[in-house]
Amino acid sequence: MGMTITEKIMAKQSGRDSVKPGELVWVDIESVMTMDYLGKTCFDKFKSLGKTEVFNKDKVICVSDHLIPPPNQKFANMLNEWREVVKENDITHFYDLGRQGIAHQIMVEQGHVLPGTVSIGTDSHANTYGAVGAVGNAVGVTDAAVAMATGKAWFRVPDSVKFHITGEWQPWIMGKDLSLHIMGMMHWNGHLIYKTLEYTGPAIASLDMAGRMTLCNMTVDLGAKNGIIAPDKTTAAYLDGVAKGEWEMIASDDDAKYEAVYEIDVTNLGPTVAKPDKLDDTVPVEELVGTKFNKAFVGTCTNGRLEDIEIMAKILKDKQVHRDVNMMLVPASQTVYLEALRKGYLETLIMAGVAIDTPSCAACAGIHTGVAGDGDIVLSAGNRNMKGRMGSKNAQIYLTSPAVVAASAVKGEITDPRTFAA
Amino acid sequence: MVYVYGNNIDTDRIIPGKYTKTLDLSTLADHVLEDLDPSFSKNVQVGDIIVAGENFGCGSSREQAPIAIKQSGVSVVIAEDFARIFFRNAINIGLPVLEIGKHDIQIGAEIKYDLKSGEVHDLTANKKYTAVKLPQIMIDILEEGGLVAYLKKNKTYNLS
Repeated sequence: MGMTITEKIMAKQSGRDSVKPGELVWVDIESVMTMDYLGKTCFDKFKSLGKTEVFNKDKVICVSDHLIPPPNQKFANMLNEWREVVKENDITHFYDLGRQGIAHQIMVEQGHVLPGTVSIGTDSHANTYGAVGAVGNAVGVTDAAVAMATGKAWFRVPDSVKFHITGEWQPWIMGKDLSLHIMGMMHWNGHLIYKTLEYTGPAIASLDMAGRMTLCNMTVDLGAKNGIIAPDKTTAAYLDGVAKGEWEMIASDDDAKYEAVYEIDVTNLGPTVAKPDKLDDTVPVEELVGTKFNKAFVGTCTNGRLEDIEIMAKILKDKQVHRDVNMMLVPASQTVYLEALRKGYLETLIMAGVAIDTPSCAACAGIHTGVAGDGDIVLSAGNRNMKGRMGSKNAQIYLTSPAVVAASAVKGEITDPRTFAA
Repeated sequence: MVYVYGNNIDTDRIIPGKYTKTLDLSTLADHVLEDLDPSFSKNVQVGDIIVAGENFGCGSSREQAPIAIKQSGVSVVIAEDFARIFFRNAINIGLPVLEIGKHDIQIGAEIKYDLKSGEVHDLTANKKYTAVKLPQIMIDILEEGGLVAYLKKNKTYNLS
């Protein structure tokens, strides 16, 4: 019987001819990623295993993203300890302040994730790596420490669920809208727990890499183990000159077994918004038009990419952010930041009254750079809206696409970008 | 004491992100579940049990979530099911977790459980549940107190 792409990858990386869902396998890890606030703990655990050298200095990727730039002495001290431990372990790839980016953006953009392999990271949105046809998995520091020591991690081979996406993408509709639509459709109730979600079909083939990353990124928020899109021409073009190693095309067999198959046509998909506190409480933007808010935020590993900034710039060109709204953009990496600068998007946004900050997880981690206070109503292009996520538990967070955030910021109330642009 | 909570208890409610940016893990138990049940950290005693609904521990990959629960003295978390990263982290740091599907266990119920057989007995309602059986390797890891302790003792691990 045929295998799904995830089963094929797990088989290949564990040295087997085939695997079946439910089996426990010990797989070879391509890259292990850890970040500033957990990295020291991770390396300490690694050391406690009695090891002095990581399995491969080129494949343990260290990123500063949650704590930078340090807003207080406590974080500055933590960052110093982090830098010390990265140096001690002689890690090749260290993306620190100045060369930084959000870890998941870095892992894909800098080619540390290769199609057909397995990579892990100590942050839940490591599912992002599925955008280039890899199994990307979030783990805790113990798993990462063990992988640093052994180059391996154990996994239970997951059952696969297919999302077959068809139709034509309409103007101003983004990967985020599909992501939130699936969230509302499947609900956040856990019946995708432990599953691999495979996104396929003509509307995936026509989706750019930024949209694919958004889609795979939020797979974790559906409770799934990983989300994956088989590599194709778009993937190959993206990785050209970037990939840190050789890779081959890989795809599911025609007779692969899926636990369920869902069909979605994006032709009728409109801008979608998740209402405060619950990711699966999603509605078409029309239902919320006119809702006031006072903070607008675009950034994060979900929507801080060049394509996201481009669509904001298109909407905000020669417009002004409403005086009752504070709007922030935090690009996902220095590479994205520079490219947006070169293309003139940042000038457009600054002229419109958008504050731009250096790449970091920013307010999405709820600890600095634009956190929410009591009573704030935030319209965010981030990934989570539970109470307290962006700071105060007395703030409300609406989640949506960068296009909806940009159009709404001008009006000072939730706005449909399709009618705004008309 | 058995504490009962609902569905989709996320890691931010188990331990808010603002307390996790520290290297001093001993402070975590002071804030465990504080937004969900502010009195929990004051009242919890060694051997207490948390019972929850679906998708317990969803959200972030923070290992501090099961660590905070373990440090509070809780002996086991019993839920309908768990978010996968929480489940994995719980085993890795040595916090027993049992997945029993739909249940109607009430606050304060008297509960007996056995990790090996997966049997959970609600003595108050006189009802028995059977948890999804944990592979032997996971029971072994839990018995050692977590993956690091297990690996230090056994040097390697065998999945079969």
